[in-house]
Amino acid sequence: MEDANAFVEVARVIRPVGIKGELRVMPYTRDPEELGKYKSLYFIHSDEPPHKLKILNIRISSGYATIKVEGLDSIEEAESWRGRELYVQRKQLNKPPIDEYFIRDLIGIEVYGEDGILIGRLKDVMEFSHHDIYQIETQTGELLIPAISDVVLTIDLDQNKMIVRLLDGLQD
Amino acid sequence: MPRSVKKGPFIDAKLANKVDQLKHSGLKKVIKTWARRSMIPPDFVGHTLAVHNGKKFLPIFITENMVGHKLGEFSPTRTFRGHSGKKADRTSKVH
Repeated sequence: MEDANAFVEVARVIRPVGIKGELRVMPYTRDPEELGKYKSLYFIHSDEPPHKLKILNIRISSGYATIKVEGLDSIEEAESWRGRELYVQRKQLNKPPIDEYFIRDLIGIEVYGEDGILIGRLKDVMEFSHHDIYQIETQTGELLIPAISDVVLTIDLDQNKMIVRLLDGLQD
Repeated sequence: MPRSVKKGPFIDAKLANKVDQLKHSGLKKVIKTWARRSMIPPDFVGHTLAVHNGKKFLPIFITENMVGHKLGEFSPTRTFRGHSGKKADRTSKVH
Protein backbone atom coordinates (compact mmCIF):
# COMPACT_ATOMS: atom_id res chain seq x y z
CA MET A 1 0.00 0.00 0.00
CA GLU A 2 1.15 3.53 -0.72
CA ASP A 3 2.14 5.83 2.12
CA ALA A 4 -0.98 6.96 3.97
CA ASN A 5 0.46 10.49 4.19
CA ALA A 6 0.45 10.65 0.42
CA PHE A 7 -3.33 11.11 0.57
CA VAL A 8 -5.43 13.83 2.15
CA GLU A 9 -9.13 13.63 3.02
CA VAL A 10 -11.06 16.22 1.04
CA ALA A 11 -14.70 15.20 1.45
CA ARG A 12 -17.14 12.87 3.16
CA VAL A 13 -20.13 11.22 1.51
CA ILE A 14 -23.34 12.37 3.17
CA ARG A 15 -26.01 10.46 1.23
CA PRO A 16 -27.05 9.31 -2.23
CA VAL A 17 -28.89 11.76 -4.49
CA GLY A 18 -31.50 10.54 -6.97
CA ILE A 19 -31.61 7.04 -8.38
CA LYS A 20 -28.64 7.17 -10.74
CA GLY A 21 -25.92 6.77 -8.15
CA GLU A 22 -25.01 10.39 -7.54
CA LEU A 23 -23.51 11.26 -4.15
CA ARG A 24 -23.94 14.32 -1.95
CA VAL A 25 -20.57 15.05 -0.35
CA MET A 26 -19.37 17.52 2.26
CA PRO A 27 -16.11 19.13 1.15
CA TYR A 28 -13.40 19.63 3.78
CA THR A 29 -11.69 22.23 1.62
CA ARG A 30 -11.78 25.91 2.59
CA ASP A 31 -13.66 26.71 -0.60
CA PRO A 32 -16.16 24.01 -1.70
CA GLU A 33 -15.52 25.00 -5.32
CA GLU A 34 -11.95 23.68 -4.88
CA LEU A 35 -13.34 20.15 -4.99
CA GLY A 36 -14.42 20.75 -8.59
CA LYS A 37 -10.84 21.09 -9.81
CA TYR A 38 -9.96 17.46 -9.06
CA LYS A 39 -10.53 15.07 -11.96
CA SER A 40 -10.37 12.05 -9.71
CA LEU A 41 -10.74 11.20 -6.06
CA TYR A 42 -9.57 8.17 -4.09
CA PHE A 43 -11.28 5.86 -1.68
CA ILE A 44 -9.07 4.09 0.85
CA HIS A 45 -10.27 1.02 2.64
CA SER A 46 -7.99 -0.22 5.45
CA ASP A 47 -5.14 -2.28 3.94
CA GLU A 48 -6.35 -2.34 0.36
CA PRO A 49 -4.62 -0.15 -2.22
CA PRO A 50 -6.36 3.21 -2.85
CA HIS A 51 -9.22 2.92 -5.28
CA LYS A 52 -9.32 5.66 -7.89
CA LEU A 53 -12.70 7.21 -8.67
CA LYS A 54 -13.11 9.13 -11.90
CA ILE A 55 -15.44 12.11 -11.48
CA LEU A 56 -17.86 12.39 -14.38
CA ASN A 57 -19.83 15.36 -13.09
CA ILE A 58 -19.77 17.69 -10.10
CA ARG A 59 -22.22 20.37 -8.95
CA ILE A 60 -21.64 22.67 -6.00
CA SER A 61 -24.52 24.23 -4.10
CA SER A 62 -24.94 25.58 -0.55
CA GLY A 63 -21.48 24.44 0.49
CA TYR A 64 -22.09 20.83 -0.55
CA ALA A 65 -21.14 19.02 -3.74
CA THR A 66 -23.11 16.48 -5.74
CA ILE A 67 -20.78 14.18 -7.64
CA LYS A 68 -21.24 11.44 -10.19
CA VAL A 69 -18.41 8.92 -10.26
CA GLU A 70 -17.65 6.30 -12.88
CA GLY A 71 -19.02 2.84 -12.14
CA LEU A 72 -21.64 3.94 -9.61
CA ASP A 73 -24.97 3.80 -11.38
CA SER A 74 -27.68 2.90 -8.89
CA ILE A 75 -29.05 4.20 -5.62
CA GLU A 76 -28.41 0.80 -3.99
CA GLU A 77 -24.68 0.99 -4.75
CA ALA A 78 -24.58 4.65 -3.75
CA GLU A 79 -26.26 3.84 -0.42
CA SER A 80 -23.24 1.76 0.65
CA TRP A 81 -21.01 4.83 0.20
CA ARG A 82 -22.67 6.75 3.01
CA GLY A 83 -20.10 8.10 5.49
CA ARG A 84 -17.05 7.17 3.39
CA GLU A 85 -14.23 9.64 3.15
CA LEU A 86 -12.78 10.65 -0.19
CA TYR A 87 -9.14 11.53 -0.67
CA VAL A 88 -6.87 13.23 -3.16
CA GLN A 89 -3.16 12.72 -3.61
CA ARG A 90 -1.24 15.16 -1.47
CA LYS A 91 0.72 16.35 -4.50
CA GLN A 92 -2.58 17.47 -6.08
CA LEU A 93 -3.05 20.12 -3.38
CA ASN A 94 -1.71 23.59 -4.17
CA LYS A 95 1.53 24.35 -2.34
CA PRO A 96 1.05 27.07 0.29
CA PRO A 97 3.02 30.31 -0.18
CA ILE A 98 6.20 31.08 1.82
CA ASP A 99 5.58 31.43 5.58
CA GLU A 100 2.28 29.59 5.21
CA TYR A 101 1.83 26.00 6.32
CA PHE A 102 -0.92 23.41 6.11
CA ILE A 103 -2.58 23.26 9.53
CA ARG A 104 -2.65 19.46 9.29
CA ASP A 105 1.18 19.53 9.07
CA LEU A 106 1.54 21.87 12.03
CA ILE A 107 -0.63 19.91 14.43
CA GLY A 108 1.58 17.64 16.52
CA ILE A 109 4.80 19.52 15.72
CA GLU A 110 7.31 19.79 18.59
CA VAL A 111 7.79 23.31 19.90
CA TYR A 112 11.19 24.33 21.24
CA GLY A 113 12.39 27.52 22.86
CA GLU A 114 15.34 29.51 21.56
CA ASP A 115 17.53 27.69 24.08
CA GLY A 116 16.60 24.33 22.55
CA ILE A 117 14.43 23.21 25.46
CA LEU A 118 11.25 21.39 24.51
CA ILE A 119 8.19 23.46 25.43
CA GLY A 120 5.48 21.13 24.20
CA ARG A 121 3.49 20.05 21.18
CA LEU A 122 1.24 22.13 18.96
CA LYS A 123 -2.27 20.93 19.75
CA ASP A 124 -4.45 23.19 17.61
CA VAL A 125 -4.51 26.34 15.55
CA MET A 126 -7.08 29.02 16.37
CA GLU A 127 -7.81 30.79 13.11
CA PHE A 128 -8.50 34.51 13.20
CA SER A 129 -8.58 37.24 10.58
CA HIS A 130 -5.78 39.24 12.25
CA HIS A 131 -3.34 36.38 12.91
CA ASP A 132 -3.61 32.79 14.03
CA ILE A 133 -2.97 31.66 17.58
CA TYR A 134 -1.15 28.40 18.24
CA GLN A 135 -2.32 26.29 21.14
CA ILE A 136 0.62 24.43 22.63
CA GLU A 137 0.19 21.57 25.03
CA THR A 138 2.88 21.74 27.68
CA GLN A 139 3.56 19.55 30.71
CA THR A 140 1.99 22.14 32.98
CA GLY A 141 -1.03 22.97 30.84
CA GLU A 142 -1.68 25.03 27.77
CA LEU A 143 0.23 27.89 26.21
CA LEU A 144 -1.13 30.27 23.58
CA ILE A 145 1.27 31.99 21.23
CA PRO A 146 0.50 34.39 18.39
CA ALA A 147 1.61 33.32 14.91
CA ILE A 148 3.85 36.33 14.36
CA SER A 149 7.45 36.43 13.25
CA ASP A 150 8.57 37.98 16.57
CA VAL A 151 7.45 34.82 18.35
CA VAL A 152 7.54 31.99 15.80
CA LEU A 153 11.15 32.03 14.60
CA THR A 154 11.37 28.93 12.42
CA ILE A 155 9.19 26.04 11.38
CA ASP A 156 10.93 22.95 10.04
CA LEU A 157 8.36 20.43 8.90
CA ASP A 158 11.00 17.89 7.86
CA GLN A 159 12.35 17.77 11.41
CA ASN A 160 8.87 18.24 12.91
CA LYS A 161 10.22 21.19 14.88
CA MET A 162 9.13 24.75 15.58
CA ILE A 163 11.37 27.22 17.37
CA VAL A 164 9.71 30.05 19.27
CA ARG A 165 10.82 33.05 21.29
CA LEU A 166 8.57 33.39 24.31
CA LEU A 167 8.03 37.07 25.06
CA ASP A 168 7.85 38.09 28.72
CA GLY A 169 4.34 37.62 30.02
CA LEU A 170 3.33 35.02 27.45
CA GLN A 171 3.68 32.14 29.89
CA ASP A 172 1.86 33.82 32.80
CA MET B 1 -26.88 55.60 20.87
CA PRO B 2 -23.22 56.15 19.93
CA ARG B 3 -20.70 57.58 22.34
CA SER B 4 -20.56 61.36 22.48
CA VAL B 5 -17.86 62.82 20.23
CA LYS B 6 -17.16 65.42 22.91
CA LYS B 7 -15.87 62.76 25.29
CA GLY B 8 -13.49 61.25 22.77
CA PRO B 9 -12.85 57.49 22.52
CA PHE B 10 -12.69 55.34 25.63
CA ILE B 11 -9.18 54.06 26.23
CA ASP B 12 -8.45 52.19 29.43
CA ALA B 13 -6.14 54.52 31.34
CA LYS B 14 -4.25 51.79 33.22
CA LEU B 15 -3.61 49.89 30.02
CA ALA B 16 -2.53 53.02 28.18
CA ASN B 17 -0.06 53.76 31.00
CA LYS B 18 1.38 50.26 30.85
CA VAL B 19 1.84 50.49 27.08
CA ASP B 20 3.41 53.90 27.49
CA GLN B 21 5.90 52.60 30.05
CA LEU B 22 6.75 49.67 27.81
CA LYS B 23 7.28 52.00 24.88
CA HIS B 24 9.76 54.07 26.84
CA SER B 25 11.61 51.07 28.23
CA GLY B 26 11.95 49.53 24.76
CA LEU B 27 11.19 46.05 26.13
CA LYS B 28 9.04 43.50 24.33
CA LYS B 29 6.51 42.20 26.78
CA VAL B 30 2.98 40.85 26.67
CA ILE B 31 0.48 42.87 28.73
CA LYS B 32 -2.49 41.04 30.17
CA THR B 33 -5.74 42.93 30.09
CA TRP B 34 -9.42 42.50 30.78
CA ALA B 35 -10.22 45.86 29.17
CA ARG B 36 -12.09 44.49 26.18
CA ARG B 37 -14.10 47.70 25.88
CA SER B 38 -11.00 49.81 25.38
CA MET B 39 -10.48 51.28 21.93
CA ILE B 40 -7.10 50.68 20.28
CA PRO B 41 -5.19 53.96 19.86
CA PRO B 42 -2.26 54.27 17.42
CA ASP B 43 0.15 54.05 20.41
CA PHE B 44 -0.69 50.37 20.88
CA VAL B 45 0.54 49.37 17.40
CA GLY B 46 3.41 46.90 17.51
CA HIS B 47 2.66 45.69 21.04
CA THR B 48 1.22 42.32 22.00
CA LEU B 49 -1.71 42.37 24.41
CA ALA B 50 -3.21 39.27 25.99
CA VAL B 51 -6.93 40.03 25.92
CA HIS B 52 -9.19 38.01 28.19
CA ASN B 53 -12.11 36.27 26.51
CA GLY B 54 -13.80 35.11 29.71
CA LYS B 55 -11.68 31.97 29.94
CA LYS B 56 -8.23 32.58 28.49
CA PHE B 57 -5.97 35.45 27.58
CA LEU B 58 -5.54 35.45 23.80
CA PRO B 59 -2.27 37.07 22.71
CA ILE B 60 -3.09 39.71 20.10
CA PHE B 61 -0.40 41.50 18.14
CA ILE B 62 -1.71 45.01 17.45
CA THR B 63 -1.39 46.24 13.88
CA GLU B 64 -2.37 49.49 12.20
CA ASN B 65 -5.54 47.97 10.79
CA MET B 66 -6.85 47.42 14.33
CA VAL B 67 -6.67 51.10 15.34
CA GLY B 68 -10.14 52.44 16.18
CA HIS B 69 -11.54 48.99 16.96
CA LYS B 70 -12.15 47.65 20.47
CA LEU B 71 -9.79 45.07 21.96
CA GLY B 72 -12.68 42.65 22.56
CA GLU B 73 -13.31 42.36 18.83
CA PHE B 74 -10.11 40.37 18.49
CA SER B 75 -10.67 37.98 21.37
CA PRO B 76 -13.93 36.14 20.64
CA THR B 77 -15.85 34.73 23.57
CA ARG B 78 -17.47 31.99 21.53
CA THR B 79 -15.74 29.57 19.19
CA PHE B 80 -17.49 28.00 16.25
CA ARG B 81 -15.45 24.99 15.29
CA GLY B 82 -17.40 24.23 12.11
CA HIS B 83 -19.33 21.15 11.17
CA SER B 84 -16.33 19.19 10.01
CA GLY B 85 -13.25 18.79 12.11
CA LYS B 86 -11.06 18.09 9.09
CA LYS B 87 -9.09 20.86 7.51
CA ALA B 88 -7.90 19.51 4.18
CA ASP B 89 -6.26 22.57 2.67
CA ARG B 90 -6.44 25.09 5.50
CA THR B 91 -3.21 26.97 5.99
CA SER B 92 -1.75 29.09 8.74
CA LYS B 93 0.44 32.09 7.98
CA VAL B 94 3.16 33.43 10.24
CA HIS B 95 2.78 37.22 9.97
